[in-house]
Amino acid sequence: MARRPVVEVEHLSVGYMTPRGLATAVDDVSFTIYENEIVGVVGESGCGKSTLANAVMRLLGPGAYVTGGRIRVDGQDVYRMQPEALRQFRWTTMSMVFQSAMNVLNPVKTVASHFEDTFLAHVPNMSKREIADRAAELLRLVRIDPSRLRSYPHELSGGMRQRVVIAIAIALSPRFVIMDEPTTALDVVVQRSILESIMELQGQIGFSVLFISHDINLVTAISNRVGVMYAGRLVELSEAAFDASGGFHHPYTQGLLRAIPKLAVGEDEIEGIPGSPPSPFDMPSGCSFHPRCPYRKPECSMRKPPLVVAENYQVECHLTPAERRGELHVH
Amino acid sequence: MSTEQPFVRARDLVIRFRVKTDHGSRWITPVDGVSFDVSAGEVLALVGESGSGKSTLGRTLVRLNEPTSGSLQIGGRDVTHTRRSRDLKELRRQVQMVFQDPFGSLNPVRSIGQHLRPLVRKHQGFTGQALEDKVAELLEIVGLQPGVEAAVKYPHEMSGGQRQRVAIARALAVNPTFIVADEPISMLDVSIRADILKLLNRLKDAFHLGYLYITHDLASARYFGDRLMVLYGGQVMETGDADAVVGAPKHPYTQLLLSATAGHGFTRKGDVLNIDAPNLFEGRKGCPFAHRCPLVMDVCRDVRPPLTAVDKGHQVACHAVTGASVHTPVVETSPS
Amino acid sequence: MSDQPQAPVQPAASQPALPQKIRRPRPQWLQTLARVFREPKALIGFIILALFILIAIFAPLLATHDPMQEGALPPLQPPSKQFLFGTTGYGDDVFTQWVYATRTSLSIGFQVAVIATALSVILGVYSGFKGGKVDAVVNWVTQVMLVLPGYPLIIMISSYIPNAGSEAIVWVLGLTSWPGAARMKRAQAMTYRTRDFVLAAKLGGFSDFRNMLAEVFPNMMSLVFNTFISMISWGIFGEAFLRFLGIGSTHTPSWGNMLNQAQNGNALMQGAWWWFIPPGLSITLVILSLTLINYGIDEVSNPRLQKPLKLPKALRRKLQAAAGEEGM
Repeated sequence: MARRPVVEVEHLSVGYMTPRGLATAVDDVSFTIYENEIVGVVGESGCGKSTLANAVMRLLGPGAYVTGGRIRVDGQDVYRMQPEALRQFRWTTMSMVFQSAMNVLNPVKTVASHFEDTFLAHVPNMSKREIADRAAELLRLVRIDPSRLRSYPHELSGGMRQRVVIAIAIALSPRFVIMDEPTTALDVVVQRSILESIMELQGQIGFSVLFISHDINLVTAISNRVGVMYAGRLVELSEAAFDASGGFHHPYTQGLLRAIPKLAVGEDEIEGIPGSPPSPFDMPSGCSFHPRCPYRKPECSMRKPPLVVAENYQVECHLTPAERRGELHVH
Repeated sequence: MSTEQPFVRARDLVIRFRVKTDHGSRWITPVDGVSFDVSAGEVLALVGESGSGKSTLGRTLVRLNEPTSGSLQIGGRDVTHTRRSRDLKELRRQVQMVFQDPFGSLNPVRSIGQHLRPLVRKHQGFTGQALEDKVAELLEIVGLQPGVEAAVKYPHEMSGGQRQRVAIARALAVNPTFIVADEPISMLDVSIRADILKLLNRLKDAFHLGYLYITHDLASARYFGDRLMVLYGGQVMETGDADAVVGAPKHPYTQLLLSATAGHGFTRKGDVLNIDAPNLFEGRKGCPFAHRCPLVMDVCRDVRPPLTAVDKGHQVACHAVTGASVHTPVVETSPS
Repeated sequence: MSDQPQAPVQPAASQPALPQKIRRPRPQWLQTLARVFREPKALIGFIILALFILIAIFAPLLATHDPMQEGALPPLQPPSKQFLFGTTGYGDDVFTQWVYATRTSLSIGFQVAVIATALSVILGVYSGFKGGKVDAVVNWVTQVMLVLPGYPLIIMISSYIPNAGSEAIVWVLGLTSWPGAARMKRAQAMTYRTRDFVLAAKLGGFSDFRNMLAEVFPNMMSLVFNTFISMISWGIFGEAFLRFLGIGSTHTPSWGNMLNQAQNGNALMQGAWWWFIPPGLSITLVILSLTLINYGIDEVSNPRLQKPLKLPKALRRKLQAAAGEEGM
């Protein structure tokens, strides 16, 4: 299957400089996103998923530094671009949808003028008429009535604002869109309808998505492949459709799945993961998850786990699939 | 449940607020004619989206809000319009609250011990070493071992889950019989949530606590709640046994909510509904869900559907469900 | 419930008698203070201020002449071994005057700060936290005070007090300078009124007064400290300003009085720079030091002002060597 890669992240490490030293937020992460593919990344707060998204976009905040690795989007190294080239590259080739639409939309500008700004920044000779037509078309794509172009952000509901932000993100037909918790702040029903819109758009227009979320159910539902981050590392990356006995999952992923209450009547057992994620200044030896892992073996605390690559999944874990199922339980 | 008097008895509660709009101020009714009972030791899960009035209702039980009309009885006493601070203190001795945000609900400049000590001293009368022991014991009950060590920490030295445990210990310090838990897990990490829910569950058995569990998540509501009450636009849409409501939802809103919950299959596609927020302004008519409802009929826009029993203990407020089914005798019961 | 529940967790008894001494972390305000001291600006400010405070405390030991003996020395002597800062046109030793003036000016500054800060805290926190009628009245008074022009008011009040001594000046300055600070505290206290931890304390059965004192006030320490520092400089400056205009008793030695005398004695025309430089420079330095301290507090208590940290040079070089050029 020769799919064209759109995003290639190789051995990416990102650290934050703090008074206590360099805190590694993303630790040697590699993955590829192919054409028309949605890759989801799940993880808990502080696992580095948002840092990863910002690093790919080259939008790391002050104090954060890429300390290793390479990111190529559409074949170009994001970190070797001149500022002007980067500015053009963003939005025309890759764009981003942030969690809070309210922070992205300017409260004193109408929806239409947001589109104008976006278009004129990249296609300076576009006429007003063309912009208006294209903006209306984009709004229709995200299922908002084009009459809303004249509205101000505060006149829209939370869900509509996020739809507008998505429409702006795909305005210049980028090949790749990063979505950082785009629906977290919204109600479930709205959330679901926006996710459906995203999937629909992606099917119609065709672009790749890096979808960041803390909700593993949601990510599994919309992604082709699901990555799981823990303490800065991508501990698992597997195909969402691939659902075998569960033994292929990283123990952390299994823990996440067990922690969520189920809707089906009869499934009443939930179980949290004991302990809490490590501080970047106090990383456990070996596998960073071993202090919380129910299946840990002696070697888990001694050596960094190898990357096990199978056809449908990859995990960073010392355990064999049988051990991960808890069959050969070593304590 | 049983013939004994329910611990919380709310009848036709209405709460109104004045809000400023572009055209002067108007009244909104975030809670509009809600009735329910919660027995001692029982968990009522209140499910709703933002704007459903669930938090407003929760705060009313500890009387941080005063109901505009209706009646609220807690522990056999009418507290609807109680204003005297002695009576309010008496109420809050029985009903405590756990807040949503574990970062905002602890005072950043006070240590954990400083949060609990005054409460234990005031409500349980311990002093000196006994007080210290009791505080440590409380912290260990909520799973913070060793308690003595947790007591000297400051909130910023703890994770979100640990802070929420402290918030629960603080509620327990008063020796309450009932706890209003306002989305206690929604701001926590997934791996932490389960343990907090299980802790609440354990405390319920250990201290025979009753809860009003406020949440937007049907799955956790079913896990923790004995009974479930679905709120939309300040009105009860459906209420009943938790498994019955989630297993066989009758109201179109509950069905929508259920189908939208991730993990419940993403099969049905395309039917994007109007997702405008419900109208909360005074003087609205009909069912608040009418503008989004796939089963909407003319009557829905004019007449508010009454809560009607469809099964034992299972009530639905929907014209399409209760009005259409001619075979089910439509018994107008006073809600409860 | 006071008896042990069927313990959901390990009961306390199971743990060995381990913790005799548990490390009690320093309270947060102490940690904050420690961080303020680490801020270079604030440190410089504290050093300058400490110097002046030492001078004020040890004034009797430092004075080279008898402060009571007026006009006994040769006038307008330039600085020398005998007269460290020279003498005034009226035959007084400038150094001795300056040392005692430091004492007066600083103590007036502190007293004004205590009065103004206390008033602003009490009125601001109370009205902001309570709201309602109390707030309406206090807020109205605050607004009126803010609208009245400051200097003319102070001059007017002071000139009605015949021969106003230090105490009178302190009260006039203290009672007129709280409104701005009170308004800031009111605004901050209002944001605390609906915070969850305050509501939780209320649900715990504690009175509003207790919650104000124990929950809200400690959170406002940096603002209170900030006010206190600004009020010291306002007190020192205000005193100097009034004295310079010749309001109040001219017999107490203070920086303002020294400047007033220098002005009356035509020090500038006679080239007697040593007469007006010490008090003038002192006022400038003390106010500068207080401002620096306030900057330091701001930088520590307001995270938005903290600068992002740079990668250490060594690490940066290593990275560049390893991977060509990395993005910054």
